[in-house]
Amino acid sequence: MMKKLAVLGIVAFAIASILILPQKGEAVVTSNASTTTSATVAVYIAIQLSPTLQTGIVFSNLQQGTTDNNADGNNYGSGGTDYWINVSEDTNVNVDYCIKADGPLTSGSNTIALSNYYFANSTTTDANTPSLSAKKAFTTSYQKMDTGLDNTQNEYLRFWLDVPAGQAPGTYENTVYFQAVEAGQNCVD
Amino acid sequence: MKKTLIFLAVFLAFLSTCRAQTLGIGYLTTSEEVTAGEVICIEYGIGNPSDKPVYAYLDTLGDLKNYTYSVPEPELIPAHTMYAGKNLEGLVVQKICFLVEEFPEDKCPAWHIKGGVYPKATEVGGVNQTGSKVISSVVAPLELIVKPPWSEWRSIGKGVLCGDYKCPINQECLVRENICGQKEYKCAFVQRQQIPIILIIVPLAGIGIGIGIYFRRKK
Repeated sequence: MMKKLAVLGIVAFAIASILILPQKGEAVVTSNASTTTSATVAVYIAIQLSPTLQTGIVFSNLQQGTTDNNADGNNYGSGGTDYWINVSEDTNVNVDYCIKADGPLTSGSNTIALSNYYFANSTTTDANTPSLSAKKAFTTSYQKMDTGLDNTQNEYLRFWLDVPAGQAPGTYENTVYFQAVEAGQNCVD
Repeated sequence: MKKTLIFLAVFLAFLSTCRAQTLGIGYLTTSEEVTAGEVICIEYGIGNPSDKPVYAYLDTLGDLKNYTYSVPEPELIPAHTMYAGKNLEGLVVQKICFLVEEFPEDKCPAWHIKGGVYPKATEVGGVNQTGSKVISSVVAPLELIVKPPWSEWRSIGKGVLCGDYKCPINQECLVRENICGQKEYKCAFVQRQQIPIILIIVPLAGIGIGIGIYFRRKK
């Protein structure tokens, strides 16, 4: 009986030893790569709005049935515009400017369509520049204005609004967005 | 909690008195490759050319909006924060992260997600007369090139064709695949754990002895 147990023990030990043999393992040897850190000049763009533009585009004394009403800072026909954007001196690339509006001017449920709201842009300004004859209607997607401006140039702007006949009285508002991107890039809605 | 509420109140009060603020953005990349399922974070520098400090944080535009994983907390950008001309030095550096969780098969072999990153701070109150509020921004274009995730590397053996070439005799060919059916091959040394010879001989000897004893006793 003891011998039987001894034989069984040896066989069991042998089988168990085989079963618990370490499993085949793999380790992938790969080479390490090293990189060198170096200083890179980033693209940097910063713009500033003129003090008048920072406070918004305001149309005072509007009347129904009138067209091409000047925004308050236009100074159209009398001097340079008070609306401008410039590039800060530490900007190190040329920039393109874009403009859009978020939707029609609204006052409660009343609206003035964007097709009545215009802008004109130029890199110079005087009594007639930017010119009414170069006006473009606002849209809700970005339109490019002047492109490739450097940090010595300003983007001058003027705004006009038509008020259709029969337009309900009220204070009409919307939001105008300006965007600056590196020259050659698309503006992003 | 109380501190957070106080901060929020001060922050909102600050914003409500702001005119349109314009900030600057510095960036080192306009395109990044990322694998679906992995978070990628990109650093940008925010500058402030104006005379007033501004609270600002990075935000996204375009299609990237849908894949923004985290945006930084608003941070004070001091007045006259200027770019120092190297890396993002001189600017307030913030990090924005993106995650594209799934890679749709119809986007194979790479999915291009376009948009922009900009410092968000500009906000104005109503103009109170007919006209427009003004919001301005400077935008860093960014394109994420999303690649499908790869499977684990697996060995297909030695001496086989490994892509376009054969591995050296002492290396194995490893391959991995992705959802687009692309395969990548590489040769590598594969170290297999050596089994001590004693661990083979002893059990085999044990079995032999056991069987021998069993048959001897049977006789």
